[in-house]
Amino acid sequence: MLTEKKFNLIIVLGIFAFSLIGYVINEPYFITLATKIVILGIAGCALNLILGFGGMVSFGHAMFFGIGSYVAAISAFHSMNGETIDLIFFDFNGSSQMLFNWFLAVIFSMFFALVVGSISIRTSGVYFIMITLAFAQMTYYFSVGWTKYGGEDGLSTYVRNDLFSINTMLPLNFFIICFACLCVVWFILNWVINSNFGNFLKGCKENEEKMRSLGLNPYTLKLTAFVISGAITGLAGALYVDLNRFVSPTSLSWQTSGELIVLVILGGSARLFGPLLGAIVFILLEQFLGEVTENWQFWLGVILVLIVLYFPKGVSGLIIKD
Amino acid sequence: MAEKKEILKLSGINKCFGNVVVAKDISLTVISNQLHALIGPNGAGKTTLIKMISGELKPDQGVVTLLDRRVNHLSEIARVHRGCIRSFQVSSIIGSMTVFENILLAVKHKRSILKMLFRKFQSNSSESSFVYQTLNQLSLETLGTKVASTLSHGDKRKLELAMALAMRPKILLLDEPFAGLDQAESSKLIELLKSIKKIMPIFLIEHDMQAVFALADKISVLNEGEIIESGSVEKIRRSKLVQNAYLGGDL
Ligand SMILES: Nc1ncnc2c1ncn2[C@@H]1O[C@H](COP(=O)(O)OP(=O)(O)OP(=O)(O)O)[C@@H](O)[C@H]1O
Ligand SMILES: [Mg+2]
Repeated sequence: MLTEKKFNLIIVLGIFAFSLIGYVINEPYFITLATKIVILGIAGCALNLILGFGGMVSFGHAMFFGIGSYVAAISAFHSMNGETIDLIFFDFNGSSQMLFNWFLAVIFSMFFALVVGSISIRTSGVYFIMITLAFAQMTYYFSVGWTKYGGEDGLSTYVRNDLFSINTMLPLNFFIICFACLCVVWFILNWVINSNFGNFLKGCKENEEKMRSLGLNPYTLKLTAFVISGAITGLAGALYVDLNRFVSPTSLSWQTSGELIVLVILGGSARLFGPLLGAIVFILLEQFLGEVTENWQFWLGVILVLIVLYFPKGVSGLIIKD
Repeated sequence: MAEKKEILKLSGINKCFGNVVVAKDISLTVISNQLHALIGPNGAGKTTLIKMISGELKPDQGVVTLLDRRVNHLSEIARVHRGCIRSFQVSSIIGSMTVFENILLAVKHKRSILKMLFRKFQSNSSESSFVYQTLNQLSLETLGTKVASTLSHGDKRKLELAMALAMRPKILLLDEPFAGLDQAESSKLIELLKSIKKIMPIFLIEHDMQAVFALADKISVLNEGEIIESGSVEKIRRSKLVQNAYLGGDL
């Protein structure tokens, strides 16, 4: 049993070591796996802020992931083919700069989180789940019909965006970039849950009426958390585009939303960085079960059921002592 | 003797849930340095009345005046920031947090989300001494590090009250704080409320008649949404109407 701090450190260093091993033994696929873990981990932790700490089960978080992806991809796409987007006040030429595309992705997903959150947070429980799902499905079908950007077939960006003068096409370099993002996200989320805000958010999860009697508005608290979560998920989406150099409506689908929830359940919602472990378990299962059997998703289901029944605190709950 | 000031005033409050009348033309005042008790049988509408004072519910008719200002249009949160603080009939502490953290929530409440985001949930020395002072008042000081969900029923009731006190109320609305306390705890709480009512007016809903008679400066009796009697402890004790409706005639 470990303390939470040690747990976080070991997980993060473990992921880093895994990708270094891949580099040393010249197995770039390992590095790609590690990168995928980092990106999905970022999204899972962001979801956990509202799910585990705010009690809001968003079944539409793929929306923010996908919006981040599409925004970054569209910007990269335009910068590549030189076609401008007429934005009334100015023409936007797209950008091949990672930092700028991340920024766009975060701004857009924040904006959507604000709109979707301000409506969804009026509800709770099953209604909240359904309404977030409905919003996400709307964006999904929109992307399917948006043939300008590939529609159902998705959109390829061919090369990775640039960051300073780093060669982002080298797997290890891109991994380190994502890893740095993870560290920043770690810092931000840690800050948020240890702030007064984070503790009132936990209070809201247990008893909103009580929080109101303490002079706090649960609605604004939850909406703020929702927007922070959406923004970080959008960043993960933008990173995912650079990893795959491709985006498709799948990133907005309810299956993706479900996968994000699976990361949280696997890893454990009680600990902020549980989903990072969830991402490790998920990716490794996908990888190794997937090699053994075609029906790896079936076995994933079995594992999930067992975890929910016997380890409701997820895998991290087995490792971290209270 | 400090001057008597009306801190809370209700006039002509009416409220229906569907066709059930839970408040019928209720008028009452709570004066500084006074404890005004509201008694009445189950389902009389007592908790509903507290909710209309706190702002959780809006009355269908009538005026709520708090510290000389009509507050009908103010939200519950705005009323809390004006010093109108309530406790709940069912202990609603945050079970996953420690006793200390529960009180700290009450100390740290701020209007601005940004201010809350940029401050750590940690007490400085003056805050932590204030928290312990509050815990001390309710003899909870040895339980500071205990997780709230593991407290005994009586200690949960006390923590509920402690959270309200830590809000530094200008008026305190208490919904059956004695429910489920044993004899010794009750007598202690009576002493505590006696000292507190000198500092802030209290509107107390209570079934425990021993506590009410020991504490109240004024008692109102609610029955089926209607105040059927109001006055001093002596007057209520003697009232035939009250005995029939509520006290069962044996006091
Ligand atoms: N939200 C609501 N909708 C409909 N009816 C309600 C609602 N809240 C309370 N009631 C009804 O109003 C009546 C008064 O309820 P209230 O909780 O105010 O009673 P009370 O005097 O506090 O009783 P107790 O001593 O049991 O706490 C009850 O008949 C209750 O069933
Ligand atoms: Mg009641």
